[in-house]
Amino acid sequence: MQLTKKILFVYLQKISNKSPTTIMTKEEFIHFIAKELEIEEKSIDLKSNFRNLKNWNSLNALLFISHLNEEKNILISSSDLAQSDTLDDLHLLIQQKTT
Amino acid sequence: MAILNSNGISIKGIACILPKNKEDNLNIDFIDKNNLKRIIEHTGIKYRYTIKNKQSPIKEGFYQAVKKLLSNTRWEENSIDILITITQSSGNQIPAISCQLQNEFNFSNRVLAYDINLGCSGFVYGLNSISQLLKSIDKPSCRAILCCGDYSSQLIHKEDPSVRPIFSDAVSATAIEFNRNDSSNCSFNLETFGEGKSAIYTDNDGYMRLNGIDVFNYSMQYVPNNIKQLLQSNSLKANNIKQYFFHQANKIINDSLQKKLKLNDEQVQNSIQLYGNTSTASIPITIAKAVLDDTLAEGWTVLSGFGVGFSVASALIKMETLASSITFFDL
Repeated sequence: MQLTKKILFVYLQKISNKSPTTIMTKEEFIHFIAKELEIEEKSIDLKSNFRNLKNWNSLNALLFISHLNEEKNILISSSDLAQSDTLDDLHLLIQQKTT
Repeated sequence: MAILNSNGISIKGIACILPKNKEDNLNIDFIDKNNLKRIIEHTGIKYRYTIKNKQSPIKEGFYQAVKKLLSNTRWEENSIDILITITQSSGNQIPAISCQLQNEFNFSNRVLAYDINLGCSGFVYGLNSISQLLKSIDKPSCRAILCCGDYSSQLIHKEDPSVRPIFSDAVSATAIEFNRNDSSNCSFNLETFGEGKSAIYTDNDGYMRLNGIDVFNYSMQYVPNNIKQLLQSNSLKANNIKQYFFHQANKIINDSLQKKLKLNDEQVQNSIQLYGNTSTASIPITIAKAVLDDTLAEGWTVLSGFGVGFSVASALIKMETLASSITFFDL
């Protein structure tokens, strides 16, 4: 079922004129968030609680969401954030919204 | 609401009044300097203007703006047919500010005068209300004044980091004329997304709360589509428009809207760097600044206001040169 959905998604992307919004891998996500927060990639992993990360504050959270919107055309709301704890939760959320 | 169409409307003048009292965001003492620098960089707001006396009634500011507008346009006081004031800073005071202003100027008793409670979308809503009303008046030409402004600092807790560095106090008065012989059209797309009511609201303590992430999300979700629908209904494309005037929310939101609509810098007028977020006064202030800078392009123009509600309103109008002023006043 999941695979069928994915194939359909890729097909729909191919037939549309829009540039494809590809799924962000775990590695790409770690790279993305480390760059956003200006922290070392090595200092974080998917189990990290994003609220405890150095430089995570309301302004950086907004910048993270705006850049994610620019790159992947998805929106993460404040209630999405409230229901998430770890970077893994955020990555899963991004994957769900991308598909 | 469907797209609303009107015609024969032109903006003849704008008078904006800001308090003389200037605050530097770098001097906010409860946020550390590095964070302040980042806030200034990303919101685009370094200086803000706030009233000195926090109890000062906003009606005084509107009085000065209308007085200046009448002088800029050389309109006679008894030539006004409609006066609408849009503010969320009346402090629940009655009577309506528009009624008080009618009395303080020599406006006719036949003036239609009332207030509207809206924020950042208010200027466009007011422009629509006036354009629909003016064409219904049985006269070949008629005139209206639209007052828009807020003293947001009256609603801001001085240690709230999400609103203190953003908002300025400001009022504006705009002169709008209807001429039955003028065939140029204008068009409006007014929408309301009440599910976003918690993005900006006043809490039980009377202070305004703002959720920056949700304001960003609602803006991205609804504003570009609102504008696209407006243009489509008029068989125009985004790049057919000479200039765009967006509500000045913050640089993050405004830059993102510009990118989403694929607009170049020359098409978009901004004023946030100079005046901050002035709520419902931000579009008239940005237009007045363009006139004063001599960068106003005549022709098809989009005005788009969005915010507290969550309320979204865009207008498509033909812009012509107009009498403008931005004045700093001891408020």
